[in-house]
Amino acid sequence: MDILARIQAASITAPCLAPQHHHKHLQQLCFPMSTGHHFSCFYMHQNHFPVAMPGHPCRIPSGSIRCQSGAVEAPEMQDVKFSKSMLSFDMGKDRLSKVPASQIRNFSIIAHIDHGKSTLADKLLQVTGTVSDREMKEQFLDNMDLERERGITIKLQAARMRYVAKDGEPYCLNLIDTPGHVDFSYEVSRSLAACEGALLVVDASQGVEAQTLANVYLALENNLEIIPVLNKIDLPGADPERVRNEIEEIVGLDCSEAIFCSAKEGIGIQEILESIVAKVPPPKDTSMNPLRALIFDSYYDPYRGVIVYFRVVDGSIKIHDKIQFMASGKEYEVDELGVLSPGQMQVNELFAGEVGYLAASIRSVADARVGDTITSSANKAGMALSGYQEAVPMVFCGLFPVDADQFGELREALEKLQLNDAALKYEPESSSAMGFGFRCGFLGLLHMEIVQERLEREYGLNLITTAPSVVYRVQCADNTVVECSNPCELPEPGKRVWIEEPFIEMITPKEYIGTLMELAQERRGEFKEMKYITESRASVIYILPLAEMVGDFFDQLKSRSKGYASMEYSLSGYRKSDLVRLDILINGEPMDPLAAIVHKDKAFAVGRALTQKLKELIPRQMFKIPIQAAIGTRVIASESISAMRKDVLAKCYGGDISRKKKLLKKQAEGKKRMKSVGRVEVPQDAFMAVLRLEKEVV
Amino acid sequence: MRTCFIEISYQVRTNTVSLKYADKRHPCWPFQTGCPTSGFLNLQKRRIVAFSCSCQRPGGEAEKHKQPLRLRTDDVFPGNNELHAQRLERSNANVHNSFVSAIGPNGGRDEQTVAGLHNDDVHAGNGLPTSAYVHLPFCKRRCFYCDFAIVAIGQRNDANSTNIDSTMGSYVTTLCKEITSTLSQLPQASPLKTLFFGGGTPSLLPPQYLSRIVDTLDQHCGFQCDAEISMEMDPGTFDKQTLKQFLGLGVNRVSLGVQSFNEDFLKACGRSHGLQDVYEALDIITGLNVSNWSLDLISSLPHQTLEHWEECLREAIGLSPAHVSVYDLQIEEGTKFGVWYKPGHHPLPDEDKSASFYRLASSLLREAGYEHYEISNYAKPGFQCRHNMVYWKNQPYYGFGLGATSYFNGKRFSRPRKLKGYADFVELCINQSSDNFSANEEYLSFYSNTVESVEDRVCDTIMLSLRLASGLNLNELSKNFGHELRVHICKSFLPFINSGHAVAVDSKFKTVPPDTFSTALSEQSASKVLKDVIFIRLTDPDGFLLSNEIISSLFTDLPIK
Repeated sequence: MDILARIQAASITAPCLAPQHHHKHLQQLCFPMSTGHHFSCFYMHQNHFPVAMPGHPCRIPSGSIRCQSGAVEAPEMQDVKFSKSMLSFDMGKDRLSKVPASQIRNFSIIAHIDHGKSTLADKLLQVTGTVSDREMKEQFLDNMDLERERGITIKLQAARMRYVAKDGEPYCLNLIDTPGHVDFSYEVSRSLAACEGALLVVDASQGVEAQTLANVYLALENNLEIIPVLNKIDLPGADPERVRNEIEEIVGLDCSEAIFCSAKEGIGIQEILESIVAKVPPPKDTSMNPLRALIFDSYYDPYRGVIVYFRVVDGSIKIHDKIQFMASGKEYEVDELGVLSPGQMQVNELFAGEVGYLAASIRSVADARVGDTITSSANKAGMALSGYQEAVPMVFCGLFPVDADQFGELREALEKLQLNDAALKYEPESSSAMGFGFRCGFLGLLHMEIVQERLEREYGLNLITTAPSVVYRVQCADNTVVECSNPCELPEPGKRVWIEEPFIEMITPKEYIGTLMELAQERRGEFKEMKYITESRASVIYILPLAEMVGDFFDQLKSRSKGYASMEYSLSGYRKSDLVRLDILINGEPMDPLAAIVHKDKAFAVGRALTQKLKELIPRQMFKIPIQAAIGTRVIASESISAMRKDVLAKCYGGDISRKKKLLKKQAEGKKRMKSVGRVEVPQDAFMAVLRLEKEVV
Repeated sequence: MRTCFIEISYQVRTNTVSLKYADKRHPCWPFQTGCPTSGFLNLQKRRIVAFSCSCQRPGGEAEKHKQPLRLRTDDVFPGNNELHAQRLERSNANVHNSFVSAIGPNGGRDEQTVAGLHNDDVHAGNGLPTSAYVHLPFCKRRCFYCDFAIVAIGQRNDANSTNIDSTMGSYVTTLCKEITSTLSQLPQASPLKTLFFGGGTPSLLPPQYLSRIVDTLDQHCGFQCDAEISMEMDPGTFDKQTLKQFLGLGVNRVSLGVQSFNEDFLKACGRSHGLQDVYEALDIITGLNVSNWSLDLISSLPHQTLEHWEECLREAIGLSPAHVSVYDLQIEEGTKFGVWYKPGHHPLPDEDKSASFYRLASSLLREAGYEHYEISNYAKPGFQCRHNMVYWKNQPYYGFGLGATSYFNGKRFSRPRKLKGYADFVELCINQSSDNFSANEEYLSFYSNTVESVEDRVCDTIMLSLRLASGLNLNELSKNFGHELRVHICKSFLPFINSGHAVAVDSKFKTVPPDTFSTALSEQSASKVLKDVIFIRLTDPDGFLLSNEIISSLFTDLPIK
């Protein structure tokens, strides 16, 4: 039985154990401390976490830890030996042990996508014995299906590892994984804030990429000790020396001690572990201060409420403590406390410097948002930890259930996702053509796509999404400024003085400069500057309306560079643009969900493309249907679908009406899936196709 | 004094009622050209003022009836525009007897019973059927468009004649077993009012085999004296002698599968006959004075043009059949056409062209005096196919033979489509029917679904009745399914009534103007006004042409899940 399974099994059977065991087998263990520091004593109880212990009469002893901190006599060698042999005998329990702050190293891994972050994390778990070879799943930390499929990390996780360093001391290493996408930069920054150090992983053949830069800057902002690691040195194209220079030049990091590694082949892993111990500063031991813990992640568990991942910054947190979340003000009692290794393992108390999780029957992640500070209700901290931000959605789109009956389910699903994703914003929206749905705000495109996919995959919803849009600022004639993301809410042309739209700055390394420039040029991009870092490396900065990027920009960029191009973007502010609202009318009825805010120069092309697509996809009906694209009252493109001429079944041979009925019922089913726009029935896939097209052409 | 049965049918279009003798003992039976005797109802006075017989047959000339028919208002306007078998007291000295023997001992049953059974309304899906479909699957070859349950036997010659006879013989034996086992387990089977031999090519069956089938039916349920016995016949499969024998067995309606009057199209469809065969068959039919005969045509054939089609229709009209069926070619999966052609793509006509074929048929046949009484059927007054009306009116019917479907006890059931499977099925029926009716029921339900649900029955009623020119009878609808559904369906119809694809008809058989109809629906008094709307029917040809679209829309709107 593997450790995790055993622990889980034990926690279920624990209440069955006889109470007399409770104190009888109490055993004192001492953990070796680095000299001159505090000591903690551990009392192991028999009533939790049975772990096989050699030479002990009870074959199922426990691993629940109660800690006492304070100065204690130095342990005798015998005890040390015992604890060591025991710990090496059975992994898992050791990781629950209280460790003095000086023995803790909290670090994360930052890397560009595909540079091997997850592989390295896996290897660290394996080498430290945190996860046995057998239970090793590929990319252990990315435990959402979606993440695994896309090879990206969306929600971060943490892992507590025990590592006995060359100096003979056991260390507690907490790896805090970070999401790997710019949409989640706030979450990345909070995870980084929970660490003292970071491994900067760079592909030894590909070198510094856009994301590498973005993350390094985040890490530096958080004052982290950065350990450069050159990964994939085993690959034929690897040129670690060149890449090392590149890091020094671009990032300005001292790479003299950069570690050459191949996570895949297990090369350099030991060096990395040693380097973490040696270079990453231990957390400050501020256990005596009032509790302050930084939430770096949280997720909703249907049985236990929100599970909060946190790093104790000051003080300590015990099971059954009354705690308060300083930003939301909500109070809860801790039901469950533990560490992640990487499975959840319960402990009774966590101290400053440690990383763990808690459950407190919290209803929603909004009550315990990433970046919020946990404090003790009884002994409140004076000030929350800095850096908390409300999430600001950048990209919006409408989500409508294909089947109107699913509206309730969609609302519930969004509520549930929001329990788990405080950055997700939504409000009800209704449209004549699409019925009831929600206008949702997302951190960025990936976030949007992920939410959509999770709604469809995890909640079995069938959704129509409108083309994503950004937040426009409209200067009105009455001197007010209206912010709007929904084309339908754009003030009338007569009331507008001008429209401003958000612009972004994009940065990309030299290889993709051509591709990016070409693409940006087509999309109202504006060249800003080209930086030559070395002779062979340069990066280009472009300014582009965000709206131009929310469509299929990434897809295009990837396909034009055979999947290799990388870029980063950041919001650079609002600027005036010559924008108009393009309406699509079917049989004279405006189709709200297809309305779009487009640049005047593109309106004709977009209008033509959309009307043609609709003509192709809307089946003939009993009357002629005009399809128009219009700016205000001016029609700029127009098509029409001629009336249906014939739809009749010939004969019921020998009275066989069943087949005929089946056909008619199928036809009726098809109609149910159509959306009525006035009298016109528009098939769902026509909507989707047009919305897809809109993402491309708008 | 004798009781004579007269069929009365109402034509919405002309607002007239036609009568015909339904008693084969009348000298004019079976109907001849110029017959049936027709008369007119004065609808204002709600009584029939006069009718006369123009028949030239012996006894016919003498029968000039000036005597008013006494009909109660309810008889004419019970919400059913087709009134069958109103009893009329009148004297008839001359009884024509030629077919009585063929009909068998039950042919001359007493008037009381017959009169009762004449009323179609009795059978609302759960009464015992008075109609039967018998499938005779043998064909010389399979036509390229055909996906029916057929057995191709090739051209009969000396070498294979014995084989063919034995195949047919054993099939007929099985068929008769099925008839016997089905009917003998019923407490009392009602005599048949209609019998339809469909195929396949029933005319390929030697008359002695047909005689066995007719005898079996006669023995177990019998026929009503005015029974319609139809038979599908293909040109080139029968001679004068054979037809004479068929007629002698009681067949009184012939449906001739002509399909086209163009040699090239016949060939292109894979038909087993040529144009010459068609004319020979027609000569045989008219030569034997078969007046009640129908002609099948297919439109929208590959490479067909509007000119071809018009030529074909004019040729058909010139031959003056009593009934014409016009089928729009349907491309079925698994047929040769299904492999070669894609609907709507060359060489098949596109939707617009195909629609114009339909319109042309509708207008030319109407001009020629045919009523377009069903989506793909046209008949001279009084010559509607009574058997097919059973289907459209959602009434029960037996089905016997390979792949045949039946509808009784509220259940629809399709028989196996392969000879072996069918034989096994019949074997099982026999084994289980001997003394255990319910076991057989179970067996049947293994094949079919259970009793049709309310939703299914509503759907059936809508889709079937809208195929008829008379349309959906709302009185019957509310009687069977409740008043709410009536209002609901009226609402669903509104857009189609506004667009001219459907019309509402009131109790005076007047068209309710769309404005009145829609105002009535939007007002509180809806139910009162709607009570007055008794039929909703599709228009010809606009409504008929889009019937699927309309019917499926109505289905979509149905309040039942």
